[in-house]
Amino acid sequence: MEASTIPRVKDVAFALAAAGECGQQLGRLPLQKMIYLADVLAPIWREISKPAQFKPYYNGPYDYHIQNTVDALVFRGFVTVSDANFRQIKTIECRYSLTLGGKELVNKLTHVNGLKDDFTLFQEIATEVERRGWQNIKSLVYAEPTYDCAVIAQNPERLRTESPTKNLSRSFLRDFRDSMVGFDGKPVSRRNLVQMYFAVLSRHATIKSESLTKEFA
Amino acid sequence: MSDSFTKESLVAVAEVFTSITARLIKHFPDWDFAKVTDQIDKLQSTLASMSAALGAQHFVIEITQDDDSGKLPISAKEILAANSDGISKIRVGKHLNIILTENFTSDSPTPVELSEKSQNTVLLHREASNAVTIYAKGYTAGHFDLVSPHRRPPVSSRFARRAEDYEYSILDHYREHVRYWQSTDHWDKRPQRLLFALKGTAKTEEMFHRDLQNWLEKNLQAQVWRGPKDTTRDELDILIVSPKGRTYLIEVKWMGENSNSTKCTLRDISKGLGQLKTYLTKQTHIKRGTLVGYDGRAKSDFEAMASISDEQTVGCKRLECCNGVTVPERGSCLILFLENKTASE
Repeated sequence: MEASTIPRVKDVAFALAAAGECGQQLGRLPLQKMIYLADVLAPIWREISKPAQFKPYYNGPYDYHIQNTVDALVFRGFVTVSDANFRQIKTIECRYSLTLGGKELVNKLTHVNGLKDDFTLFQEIATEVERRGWQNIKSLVYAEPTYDCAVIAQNPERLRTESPTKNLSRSFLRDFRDSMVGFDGKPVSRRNLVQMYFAVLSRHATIKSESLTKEFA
Repeated sequence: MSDSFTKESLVAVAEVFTSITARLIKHFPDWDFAKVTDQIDKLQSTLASMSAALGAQHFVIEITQDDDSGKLPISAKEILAANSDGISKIRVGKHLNIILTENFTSDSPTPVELSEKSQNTVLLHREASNAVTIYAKGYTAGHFDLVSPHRRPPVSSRFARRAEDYEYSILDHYREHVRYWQSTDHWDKRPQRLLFALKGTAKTEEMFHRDLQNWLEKNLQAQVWRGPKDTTRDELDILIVSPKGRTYLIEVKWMGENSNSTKCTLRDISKGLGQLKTYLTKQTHIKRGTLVGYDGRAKSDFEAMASISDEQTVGCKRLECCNGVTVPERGSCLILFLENKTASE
């Protein structure tokens, strides 16, 4: 399978592989969220273009290409499904993880020029989500400024993570990157940039939940 | 930054961006943001939990990312032990275990000295009250409150002084509390310059003594003891112990007349100088002693005394000898005039 033919193959494979390294099997929505975080971070991580199709869905940002891709990967035996739970006709809960073939696919993809770097980004995201608990991936994504603003504005348009002006995370990460140049002129490392980004998401999520608590009180 | 950001997200960005960790990362870009955040959070909560055990102990901790496995963790006992003979620099590694302790050369390091010593490292300094400052590469990277790290540190008094500058503190006290009876309220009959013989339970000398002691306790970065007795039963008026263990003593006297017609004159000051000489001779560990005489006599008597230096403080004279008794070595004598008229009078 060519990596370029199905744009989300590498994203799904990398997300499952990075989560698997943390001993985590991803459900349908956490998989979406994990890739969304990678999409908002990717432009600053490395200027790469990809067809971003996230929309502010009921349960967070959602790109149907990701679901199609993971289904295709399951069909082709690269991904395995476990803990399937059919709550309603349209609500299916399950967990995805890579098969041996899937792991081999990730291994091959990381040898494609530039994709190893993408995989590193997924690993950094997985580490940061792991640090805060996988159950909190939802609140982290809901605190992401681009998604947060789209929800507040009740904007059903797709979230333009590839746009330099519409991707708000990219905007403030650029400010961060420029202001965090060390006093000796050394730029901030990409790892520190991702860690600071997650620190902002965590803090934003806390502030939001505190203000909600106050409202209800 | 775009206007589309919500207020909450901007607050979150500002908090992270101005955090101590972010400032440290700017100085040390090779350090890991998440690990430094954990380290600073853990250090703040550890210090807050031991604040009661630490008392007023000043200390300096050098924060590094070095391997410290197998070393003793930082604790109140270790901090107190490391600083028993003066202020030491306690170097901790990435797990906050103590790698080594090293003595500072000066009595109590000043912010300038600490900035200089932090040229290639990060130093945490607990100075006055509960204020903690972090220095990195010569810059101040953060301040916080020892007991509640998420609060800003208490603002130090504008009269705060170091132990070795206790004489300046005596003069501050004179200007702010005594000269125009602002706090001591020592005059019984002000026009006749008669001091109270007994005010509450305090005798004439004690009025000045207590007020000065309270002032020093609030404004001096030191332990201040009132009336400590030594093994020879000599009772000292006020004893000051600096963080490095250096001791200074103050002997309080007064001159003039009180409402019981008790009169104190220069003879009492010279007697006090004799006492001071005895203390300083017997107790060689005392770094310096000062006799403070509050002068309630007539202004002409005060002006008749010769001062050995031009004091900046109006109403203050520094004596070299009094009634033939010379001020002892390591000693000094300050005479402070008690005004009985306001500026308008």
